[in-house]
Amino acid sequence: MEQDIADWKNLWEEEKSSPINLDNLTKQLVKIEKKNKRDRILILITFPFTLIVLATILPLFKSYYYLFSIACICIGMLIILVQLYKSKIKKYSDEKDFNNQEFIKSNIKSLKESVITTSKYMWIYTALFLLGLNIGYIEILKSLDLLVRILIHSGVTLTILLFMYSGIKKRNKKNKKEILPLIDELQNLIN
Amino acid sequence: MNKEEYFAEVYEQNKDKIYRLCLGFMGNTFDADDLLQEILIKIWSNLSSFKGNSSISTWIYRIATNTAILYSKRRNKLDNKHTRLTSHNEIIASSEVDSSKPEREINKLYIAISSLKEIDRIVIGLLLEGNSYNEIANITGLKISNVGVRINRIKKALNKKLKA
Repeated sequence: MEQDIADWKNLWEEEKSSPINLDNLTKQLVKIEKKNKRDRILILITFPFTLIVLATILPLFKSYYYLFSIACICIGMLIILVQLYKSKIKKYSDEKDFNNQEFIKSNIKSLKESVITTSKYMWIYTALFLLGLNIGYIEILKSLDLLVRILIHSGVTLTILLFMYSGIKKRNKKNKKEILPLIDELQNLIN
Repeated sequence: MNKEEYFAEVYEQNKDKIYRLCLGFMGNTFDADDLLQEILIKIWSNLSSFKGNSSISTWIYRIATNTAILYSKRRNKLDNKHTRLTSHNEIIASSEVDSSKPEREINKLYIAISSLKEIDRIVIGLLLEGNSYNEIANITGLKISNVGVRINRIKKALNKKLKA
């Protein structure tokens, strides 16, 4: 048996990688890294920037309605951001315990979080967003007739609900087709 | 040494080892090249998080094997989605017709290894790269006793496949 291993080892080591243009690859990698860095900075700036813009446009502290409105939307956005962070796949550090088994477990956890984000947290976000929007509209539309106000509130709520419903449904379907089977397969690997 | 130089050094020292693991995992040069590229991208983007707590080769083996597991899962899904006209294993097999005896034996070994279970492919690949049971356990997260049991099982399975 040991001789077999020695023979296989000799055959195994005969294979060599084909040469690649490392300079080109490195240039591309640097380019991608710069782009990713730019995107991350943009996302980091966008959230506080949106808040500042909203606070400037809306007289936030003059009306509790606006304040509650923005607070609801911000809480919703924060919940989704936390979920996105939780579903982020762990970096390849050189921690001693970050082996294949841990990697698979961490991937399963991330994948499950991303499924929960769509099936549960996107609905919580939708509810908070609609609540915030409707509270804001109470103040914005206060000078209009009650019937017009009810129509606008219902119209906006229904439109957003339909839009979110179709988006979430599409995403759930995709998760069911792609992520859930992957979770099962990965789970089989560690069982 | 800047990141580009360090990456080039790491690449030069490890390219053949990683490639062999990729080929043993995928069983064909087309997918192995693709997987190698993906592993290199992962190494590049995680190079700054390598702090030297373990040896660079252990760290690279972890990245390579973890990437291979996910890559193979994605590949399987793609294969199920779009039935490919020719299996890549067939491409290797057809090239055997013109190849010399040692080349045929090498191809046969790699194809046999790629037909094992994913974790077994990793274990035998690491063993053939000269890693000890302890190192294999470290990279895969399996217990040393389990590594030993698996290696015995893999040896029997490979013998059967290669002698068939």
